Amino acid sequence: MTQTNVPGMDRGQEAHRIRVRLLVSYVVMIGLPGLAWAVTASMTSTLHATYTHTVNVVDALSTDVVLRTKLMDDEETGLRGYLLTGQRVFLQPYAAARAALPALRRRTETLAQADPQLRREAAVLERRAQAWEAWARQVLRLPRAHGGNASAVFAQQFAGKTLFDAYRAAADRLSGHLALLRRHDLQQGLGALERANTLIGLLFAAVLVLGALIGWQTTRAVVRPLRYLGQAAEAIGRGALAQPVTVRAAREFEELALSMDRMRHQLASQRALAMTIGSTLHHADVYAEFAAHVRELVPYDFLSLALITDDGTTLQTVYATGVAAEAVVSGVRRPLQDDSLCGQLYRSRAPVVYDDVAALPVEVLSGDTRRMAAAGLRAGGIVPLCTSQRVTGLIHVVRAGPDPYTLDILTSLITLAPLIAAALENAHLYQALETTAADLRRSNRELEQFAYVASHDLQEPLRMISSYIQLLQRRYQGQLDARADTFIGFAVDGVTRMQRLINDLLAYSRVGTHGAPLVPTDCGEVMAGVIAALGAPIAETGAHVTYGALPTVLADATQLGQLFQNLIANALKFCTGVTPQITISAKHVPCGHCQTHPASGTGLAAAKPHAGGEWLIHVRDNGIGIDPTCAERIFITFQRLHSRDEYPGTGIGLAICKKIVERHGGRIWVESQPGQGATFTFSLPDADRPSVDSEGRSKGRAA
Amino acid sequence: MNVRPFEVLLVEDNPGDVLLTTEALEEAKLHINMSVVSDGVEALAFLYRRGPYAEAPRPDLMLLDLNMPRKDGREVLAEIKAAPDLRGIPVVVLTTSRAEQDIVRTYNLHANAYVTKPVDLEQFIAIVHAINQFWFTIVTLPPH
Repeated sequence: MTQTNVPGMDRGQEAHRIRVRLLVSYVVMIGLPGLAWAVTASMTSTLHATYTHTVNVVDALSTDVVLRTKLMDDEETGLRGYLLTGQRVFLQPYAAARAALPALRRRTETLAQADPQLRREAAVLERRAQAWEAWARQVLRLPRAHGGNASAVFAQQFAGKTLFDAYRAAADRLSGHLALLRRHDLQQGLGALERANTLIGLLFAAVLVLGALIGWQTTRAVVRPLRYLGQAAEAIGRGALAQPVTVRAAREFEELALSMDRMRHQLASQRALAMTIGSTLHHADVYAEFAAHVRELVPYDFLSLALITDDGTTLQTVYATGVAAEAVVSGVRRPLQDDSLCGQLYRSRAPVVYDDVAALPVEVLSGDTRRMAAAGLRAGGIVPLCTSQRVTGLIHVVRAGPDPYTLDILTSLITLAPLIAAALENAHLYQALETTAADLRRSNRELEQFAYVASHDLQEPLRMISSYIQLLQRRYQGQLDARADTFIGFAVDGVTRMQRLINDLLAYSRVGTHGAPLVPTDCGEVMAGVIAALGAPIAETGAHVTYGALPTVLADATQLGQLFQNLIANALKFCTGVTPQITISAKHVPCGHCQTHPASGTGLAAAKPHAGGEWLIHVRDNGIGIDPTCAERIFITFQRLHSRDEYPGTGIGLAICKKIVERHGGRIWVESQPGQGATFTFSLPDADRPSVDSEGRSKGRAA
Repeated sequence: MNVRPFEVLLVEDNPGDVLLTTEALEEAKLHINMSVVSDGVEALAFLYRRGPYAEAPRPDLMLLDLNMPRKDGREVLAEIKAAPDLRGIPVVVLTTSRAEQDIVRTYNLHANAYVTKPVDLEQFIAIVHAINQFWFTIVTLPPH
């Protein structure tokens, strides 16, 4: 993710920085057009000033100079005409110009105040004009009528021309200076225009740069956090709850991230609780896990858990934690009264909240509400633990401080309640199962021990009876009467049978008490040994015993041999009237196809599901067969289907077979029809997976 | 040839077994003088010729039961085989126990043979005959 916590970096500081940067950008953005306006205004004012100067001063002065020069020309022309002709009529233009000039002179003087040089040059112009006019007035005082001669007039005229030329030169200099001023004004205006142009161009560039900056900043401050939050929301939606949601951005984003993180945390807590509690098998663990996780979902200062008995009459507090928890006596049972708060909850199955624990009856749920109030606890809520059938318990949360609970706050708890109920139910069932299993194991061990000790210790007195009856028979047969011989015969027979029964019982109990560890064992090898051991009866009956390839399985070789020997001997025994044909074969059944037979054993081992494959070993004969209705009975200790006269035996052989198979984690059954032979089948797990003996201990594969 | 009878000491607490063994020996028709003691304490008194057994003969063979009151066969065996002048006497453990640990332990205590008493009388008699046959006609015993 793009944003992570930088150690040492204050998140608030960072947010402040971003805000300041944005603010500056906006201020500059607004300031730039203002600046542009100011530039334009300044340019306009400059233009206006130069224009006003040009029109009001320069142009007006220029006009004045031209007008004055023209009027001066009129004076000079009039004067000259008069002097040449002596006719007063020529002086008319001179007089007219003399009358018009003073106004112009005053204006020139005023306008020329704007500029020192102008003032100086206007003064020069004025002095020269006055010099000529002074000359003119002097000349006019010498009228031709007063006897002036022509040469004197010409001399006068020459002096006047010099003065007039000086005036012209001053007028030209002033005009030249005015032209300079005009050009300067124009340049100043143009310069202002150019400056404004450049400045506005620069401002435009600055706006562009700033716009880009703001765009980038917006991406950083808005788009990235948004994208990050979107990805985080998606991750939470997917159920990836490990990564905390945290973002360094504007406060609104940080707040959004914070609430998303709270949501993530709640979901993670709920899930953790669900997972932990689902796999917790003991009550105490369920309580502790629950209390620890709930703290993250619902704030509380006191929490208790009470269970309701199956019949709904009694409430028992089983767990309490937090403030005033010591006031709760765990395990105390209280009658659940119909009209009480808890009674109502039991019936309504709906959670309740209350504002003040002190307002509740003294005894509600878990102990003394007065003591809870005294400890500072106030508002609380009660959530029923519901299974599909009934309310099995109540969760009670109380907190100090003024904020009351709402059903909204309790939502997590309400959501989790069925889960807690199920977990408690599981723990309850598991405990019951464990107790039963332990009882069964103990009872089984005791029985086996008892059977072994009993049969062992019974041997001794039996040996005495047997030996002395035989001694009697040996020493005194024929010396007593025939009835005494019969009595002795029955006694010997009874004792012999009892010995056999005891020996069989001993063998049966030894399967459980004297078993060797299960190790990989070659069935073929065991089978060869068994056939050798049964050499005599096989030869006697002329039986054909055949077997194919047999697998290697996890087994106690001695017991496996006993199993084969019992099954084959059994087959030999029940083949009357025909030559016994006994076939032993093996078949592998892969995982998931393990055969379950209705006649299979009912013991724990037989009912165990098989995770891997297993071997099925068949022992088939062509004997008298078995009625299918008796197929289960024959595996029970001392159960016989025939009289001892027909077929000898105590009826323990197949019971031993079943016990051996079950100790090896397999099942045994028979398929048969009367007169059509019988097939005994037993299963053994694969040699490459751990098996379980009758004690329920897992036995690993031995080296 | 040795003209004196073979001396056999039977250490057995069960009178029934004592009688059975005696009966079986009688049938063996061997020249055997059998002495019987009923526990380990008496057996050692007999061997060391203490108290009432001051005149007791040194046995050529001991038949020793394992489970007896006061001092059992294992203790007796351990003491005999630790005593330099007694350890030469052959000891056959004759017991009802088939327990593997008993068999291993008695051989570790240097018993000369371990025999389980059969339940069947015929077999018992046959075994007693076989023991006598083996120890008194086949084996050469140390001279007294």
